[in-house]
Amino acid sequence: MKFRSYFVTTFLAALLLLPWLLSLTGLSAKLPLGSAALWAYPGILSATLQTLAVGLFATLLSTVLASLILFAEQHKPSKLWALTFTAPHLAFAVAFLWLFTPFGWFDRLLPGPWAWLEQQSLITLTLILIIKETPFLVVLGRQQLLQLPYQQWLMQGRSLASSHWHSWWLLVFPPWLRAMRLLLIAVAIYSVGVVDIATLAGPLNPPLLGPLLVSWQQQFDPLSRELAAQGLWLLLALTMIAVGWLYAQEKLIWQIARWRLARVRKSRTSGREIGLITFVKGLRWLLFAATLASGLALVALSVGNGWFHPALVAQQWSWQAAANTLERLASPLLTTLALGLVTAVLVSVALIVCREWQRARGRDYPDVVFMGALLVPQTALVLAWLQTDWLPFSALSAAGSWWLTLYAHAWFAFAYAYLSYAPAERAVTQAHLTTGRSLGFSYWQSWWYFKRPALTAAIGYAFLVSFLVSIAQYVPTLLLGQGYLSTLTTELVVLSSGAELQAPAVAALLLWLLALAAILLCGNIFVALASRRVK
Amino acid sequence: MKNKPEQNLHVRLSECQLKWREGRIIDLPTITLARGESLGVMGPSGCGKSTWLRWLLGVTQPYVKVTGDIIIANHSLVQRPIEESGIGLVMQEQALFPHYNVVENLMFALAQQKLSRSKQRELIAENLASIGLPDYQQRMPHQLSGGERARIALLRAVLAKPELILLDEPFNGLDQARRQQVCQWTYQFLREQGVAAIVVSHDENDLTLAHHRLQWPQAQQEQRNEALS
Repeated sequence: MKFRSYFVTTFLAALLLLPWLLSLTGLSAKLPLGSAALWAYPGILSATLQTLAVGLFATLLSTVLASLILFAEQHKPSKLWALTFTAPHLAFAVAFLWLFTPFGWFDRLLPGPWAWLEQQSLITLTLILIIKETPFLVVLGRQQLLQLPYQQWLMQGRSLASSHWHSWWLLVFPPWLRAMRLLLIAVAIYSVGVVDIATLAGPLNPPLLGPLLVSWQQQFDPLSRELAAQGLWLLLALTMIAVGWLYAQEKLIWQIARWRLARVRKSRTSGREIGLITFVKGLRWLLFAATLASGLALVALSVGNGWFHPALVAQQWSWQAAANTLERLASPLLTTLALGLVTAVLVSVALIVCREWQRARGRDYPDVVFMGALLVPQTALVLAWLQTDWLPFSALSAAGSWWLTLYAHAWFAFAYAYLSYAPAERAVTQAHLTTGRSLGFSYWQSWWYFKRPALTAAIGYAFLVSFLVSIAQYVPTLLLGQGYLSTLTTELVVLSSGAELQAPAVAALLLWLLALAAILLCGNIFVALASRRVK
Repeated sequence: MKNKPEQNLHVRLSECQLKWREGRIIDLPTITLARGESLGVMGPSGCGKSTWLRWLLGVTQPYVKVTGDIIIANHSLVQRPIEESGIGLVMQEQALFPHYNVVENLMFALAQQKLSRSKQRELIAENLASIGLPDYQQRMPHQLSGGERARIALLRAVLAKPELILLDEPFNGLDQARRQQVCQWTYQFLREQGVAAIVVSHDENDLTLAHHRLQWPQAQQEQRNEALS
């Protein structure tokens, strides 16, 4: 049996290209020009500027921190980052707010120093985004670093009498930044269009553009719909500015590096630089401790009753209320699990097919082709899909919205999973598969027997990433689910908008445990499969 | 190796032992070099030559323990960081920083000499002309042939004014005719510049012009106490 290229091409086109086509047809011609209703909306200018500020600052500071951490951990990378990175961001945000903002637990323990960190503000949101984005950039940035011969560059730089510190910033950092371009664009776009965390921790009156757009889309009056259509363009414009900023930042770094190349440098790392490295090394423990404390806070909040300010401990500990909330969350939990599992299976299959399709065609397309979903704000895409006339009427039914949401989950998860699977697949030789075919096996039989064993860990990781991305999806589930679908993430946002603490804590804890269970199960299953292969 | 009068000695490597974790041991004799002299070290790939070079440079290698001393201009260099050792390095792989052009690669080496930018450019232009590559300032490393890259890499190492240069398989990847040409030029250039050098290669043809030659010794296996008892 041959590799059925036409069938695969159709499958991939349907999975990957159809959403782009829908987005294009859904873009309205209502550009927010000078007299547009959008500009008359109270606080729109402030919302625009704040949205841009969050996007730029969170991305910039996360990049600076990630690059310092990579420098400090060159010889001994810490595994703590992976643990911090896998905590679901929304669940983390719920616990972080309760721990560190005024009237929170640490404010009760040490009153005063937390006053600047309001429950909902630009600073709080930026800080949470930095805490979540830095480990992401460290984990993926290390993968990019390993693709560069950076140790040889450092050795040569040092043999030319330049200190380790200077050699790193002049020789390694600029090309690393260029290698990180796509990832940084994805992070900036996420930060500009963020909705879920912005709803919990972002400023109010006015909120950021992401939450504003979602709230307009959920109204049924013509003015709100018009605002949503015009706001979509504004969000796209802000995205373009953020991407432009990243290009300018990269260019600036190159210019500075070129200028510094010829200048006298210290041949020894200074005390100030060593101090900075020590601080950065301590930062991983700080972030890990904050993550761990957040996890423990969720457990405590879930079983603590009558925990009012300024009490340090709850009046009573009981599982009863948590059990009642759990009962209420059973259906969203099942929906989350079902969507996550089907998404993970679908994406894993699509990834394998996509890479084999490229191998069969003898062409390795640039990653950007398959990561496109990360390079446009999610909210803008989903709004465009909802505004298209091409969507069949049946998609608006209960069953239709389920399939539509699943499609969106798979599409977004595919982009993230491709990031991890493609480099691993590229590193595996096709020779064994070809040998298998020469022995009379079909293409896919040969893949299964001769190539799959070398990819077990990569497939497992892609499966896990897809599952984690799916359970964290908020905007696609909320807007495409159209009220028919409720997952732990959408429930968590709803519950967090109230004054009650216990119910959102239980939902957040459940989400966290689900992610943790997936990590442990995937890890164990794929380690077992890999070791069976070794035996 | 022949003994030289003490006053001419510039580099002295004492007897040295490399001991790998798995018990492999290599013993090397004392090595002395005067300014402008070169030592060719020959041995098959994977025998430990590059590990030894990295130790000379000051790179920490946790899988091997090296004992011995490196004395340059009467100063011991053991435990000194790479950037303070005054030892240059030329490698065939990644010989130049691929993201900077020729002039930027060379400026990096001149940075510590407190020259103005215009003086640096002048010096680079002169030196490029002297090695027969006068119009190469703005070229990127990928636009150079293997031989051109090798010459510029050596020039870069020399411009930093090291006391000793280590060349790790510097002629790999060059075709036979080019290899001989670049090899001759390298030894002559090192002699003219008066820099002591250690050239490591798996091909003895690369080392025929070296002042001294050292055949990498056979490894011995450590005699473990348990095995003896």
